[in-house]
Amino acid sequence: MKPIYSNEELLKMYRNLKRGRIFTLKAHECVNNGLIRSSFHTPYGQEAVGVGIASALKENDWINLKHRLQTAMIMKFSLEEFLGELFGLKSGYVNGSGFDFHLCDYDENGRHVSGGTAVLGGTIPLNVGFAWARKRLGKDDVCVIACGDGECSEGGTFEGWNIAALYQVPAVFVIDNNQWAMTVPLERQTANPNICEKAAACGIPDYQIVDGNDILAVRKAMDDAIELARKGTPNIVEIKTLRWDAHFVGQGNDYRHDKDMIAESMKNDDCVKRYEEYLLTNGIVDQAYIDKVATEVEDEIDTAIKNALAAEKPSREDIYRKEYIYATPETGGDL
Amino acid sequence: MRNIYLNRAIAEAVSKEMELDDKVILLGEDTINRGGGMSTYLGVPQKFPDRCFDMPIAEVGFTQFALGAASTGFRPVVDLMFSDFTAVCFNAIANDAAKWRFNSLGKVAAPIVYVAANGGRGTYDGVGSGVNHSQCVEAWFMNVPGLKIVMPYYPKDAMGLLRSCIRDDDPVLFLYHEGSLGVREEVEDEIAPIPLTNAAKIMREGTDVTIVALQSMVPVALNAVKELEAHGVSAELIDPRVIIPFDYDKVIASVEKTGRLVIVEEAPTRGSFAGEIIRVLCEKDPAMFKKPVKVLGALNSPIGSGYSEALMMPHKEDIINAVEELTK
Repeated sequence: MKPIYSNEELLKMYRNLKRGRIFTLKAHECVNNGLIRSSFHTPYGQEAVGVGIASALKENDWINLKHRLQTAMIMKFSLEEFLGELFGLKSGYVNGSGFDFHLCDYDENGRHVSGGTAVLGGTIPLNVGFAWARKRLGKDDVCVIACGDGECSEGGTFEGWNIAALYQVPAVFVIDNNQWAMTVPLERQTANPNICEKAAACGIPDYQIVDGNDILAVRKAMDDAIELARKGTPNIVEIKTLRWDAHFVGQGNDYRHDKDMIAESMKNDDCVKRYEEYLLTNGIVDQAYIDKVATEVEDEIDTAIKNALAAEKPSREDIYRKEYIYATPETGGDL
Repeated sequence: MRNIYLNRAIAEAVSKEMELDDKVILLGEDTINRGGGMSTYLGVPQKFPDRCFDMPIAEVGFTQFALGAASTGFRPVVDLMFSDFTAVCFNAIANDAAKWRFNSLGKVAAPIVYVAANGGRGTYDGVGSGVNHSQCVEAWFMNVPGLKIVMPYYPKDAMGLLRSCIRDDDPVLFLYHEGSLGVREEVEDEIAPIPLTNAAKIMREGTDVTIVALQSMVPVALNAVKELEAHGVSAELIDPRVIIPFDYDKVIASVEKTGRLVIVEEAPTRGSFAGEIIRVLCEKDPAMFKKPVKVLGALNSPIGSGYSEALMMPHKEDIINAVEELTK
């Protein structure tokens, strides 16, 4: 079979995947040693989801911010900006005031990250409106609108799908289905395990279900989905994966009844190892290359952490200004 | 000059701003066939068919939709019918739109106007619509930084203020009063935008007592003021028209003159608009008060339907009694 992606593209994805994995592990350490003081919703085990999605985006396409898509977000924001947010420091993208939930860049020439909402249920209809507006402006953009399996139980998500189908917005809905919503397993969240069928019921019948630990499958599904959306058909990709850790680092994993599944997934279904095996088996890279990438991204992240530690804490003035709250500060009342 | 009802004032404001700015869009329930759920946009969908949108009965969905569209330059006017329904989409307004600018440290605007009918018909001894259709919701939102709240009563004010709301780069809750849909007023052919700053209007000048009456309480207080005048009491009546940003200057100047303050609102008084105004005045200078402040509002109770609505509202006699107690 003719390969779909060039070696250059395959290696780019590999670097991002490895970088995502090492970032995830280092961020976990940063929680343990007190550098990250808020809830880090670790993407451990599902790093390929974010990288697969973000790799498929064309320059003018958009992706919404979503927690647990950090591996995509560090492809959009620099490590300095992103770690600055996780650490709450002035070096962050919004001076350390947004953590990893509240970042966006709507600039035409910017990162093309549309906003998410940290209260589940808002993100889908919000970004449906955004996708509608882009189409209305005559743009050729596609908006990738991602959420987790948990958010698919929110009424707002259904309202968003319904409006998306009514107005045929150029969007790809991605369900990052890691089988767990906080501490509740999928079978106790939904009687229908195929969430994309619920979107189909709202009038979005084109769906794909893919193995989220196979980065090439994610990438291919996203490529096809984005192409379909660009032709004007909203569609959905349900990416099935498994959350290896707790809902957030530090919560503990005692409630997990699927520890044998996690062990099995770590052993035989690790998205990083699987992709490395693919690259090795097909003679695209050798072990030395893999080791080299590991060293390079580890150095990059260590340096970023070290630099972040040297950054200042924000002052009140860095974050709380009238003009950050109201467009017309003189009419907004006192702080 | 001509006589117009409040719904005509709203329709004209939206229509006029749509003419001037093609980024203004209108969305909500019943938009096309009925000019909005309360018929406040009659004629607008016919004039701008490609900029008016029917939405399913999904307040969460379409208020969030509006925020997404606003994020890339549109200026949505979102009709929510009754202000009680803002509870359904409180998250989209209070948690998201109001924070949009802050989340981006000033880079992204959310220029959305949420239009809804506030309060009930009980103020006029009309038949009220009860617990889920007659509430005054302004206090629910006053504690949310990032929002502006506009509360006109008369058609002319509604038209001028709404025009400013649509031009404003912040999310604005435009609460007209449900009971004022039947109010007519003589107006000029063209009504200019009324700025949201320093918006309080002195309806009647006086020297003995200051009455700040909110929305439906303005006409009630106006009747009280006329009667008080006949009894030899000179009351100054202020209609705030906009509560965020609030025009403290006019109220403070008035209370410094009269030394007495009565605030009248239709909402229950606990945790209300009145309390916030009094807080600011007390922090500034409690010596401006010669007498204790009086607050009149609805009972701290859910609102019954039908005739029971009128039984819980402040009436002209309550205002007269309160003023007489302060001035005797």
